[in-house]
Amino acid sequence: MHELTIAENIKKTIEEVLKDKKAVVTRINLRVGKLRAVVPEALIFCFKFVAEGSSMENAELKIQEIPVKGICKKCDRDFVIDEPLFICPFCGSNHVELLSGRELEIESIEIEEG
Amino acid sequence: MEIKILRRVLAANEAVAKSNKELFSQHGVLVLNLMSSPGSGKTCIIEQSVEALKNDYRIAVIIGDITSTIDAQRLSGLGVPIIQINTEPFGGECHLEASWVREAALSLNLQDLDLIFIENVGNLVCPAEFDTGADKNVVIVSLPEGEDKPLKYPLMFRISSVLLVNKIDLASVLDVDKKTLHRNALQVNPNLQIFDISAKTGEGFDAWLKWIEAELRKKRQQ
Repeated sequence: MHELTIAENIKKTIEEVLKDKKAVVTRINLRVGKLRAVVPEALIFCFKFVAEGSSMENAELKIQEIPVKGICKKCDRDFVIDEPLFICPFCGSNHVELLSGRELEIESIEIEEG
Repeated sequence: MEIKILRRVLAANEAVAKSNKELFSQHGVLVLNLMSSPGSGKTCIIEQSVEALKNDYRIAVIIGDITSTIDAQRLSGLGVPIIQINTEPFGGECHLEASWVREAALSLNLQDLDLIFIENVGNLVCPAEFDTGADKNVVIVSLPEGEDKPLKYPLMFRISSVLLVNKIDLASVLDVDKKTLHRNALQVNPNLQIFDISAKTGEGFDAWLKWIEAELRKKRQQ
């Protein structure tokens, strides 16, 4: 259940950003890499729980899943990795560096100032 | 109104992990973070490794468990400092966070230590997400778990430097192909060092212990 810790951290981060600003958070835009093994439904469920009673309790959690992308260190081509085989589809090399897929960030929030 | 934030959600943990790294470096202590699913033999491997190395090196163990002190009690006979972190009072988490590891580490006399083993909570998902600040991550798969763990939990194998394949004494009674397991692991991470071991019989332990000693030398030279 790392979703619960992630939800708590999302709340904490937004509180830090808003500080004493009186605002209702209506939407939270997240970018989550596929390698993170975050289950969106579980994260939404956990967030509802941790946000209860706060200014973000009715916020919509919008999760943008980021594909796992790699670049081959041999032939220098990049590609999307759909399964956990970190092998270059062009030259077969296994010297693949990750370009994306480990993101776990809050991109933006939408608020209504009150 | 939209406010751009662009903040990493686990930034706080990552920052603490970084300062843990500095703390360990300052004291020249090598920290190994052992991770696996429950029942792969983490405690037994630590037990045998400490037993083999404790005459030559000053060692401590930090153990994470959701609840219970069973593992800590089991290791207390080793005669080295054991710090137990129960994650339950912190919300029953399934992984160790950098701040708890820091607290545990600070309760040890770091200047009097060469090596710390961290036994993470048994789980192949969450501990991969939370950097502890350890020098090296070690993932353990026991042979009965089958060949496909690296493909199911790629991040764990991606962030690890060493794969210990434990319980190889059971190979003759299992229908598991060790070579396929190795190949799968190397597909996910070609830089993995793999050691086949049996914590029960001691088979393959020499190579694993030699690796630890080489890392200890590297740490000392830094």
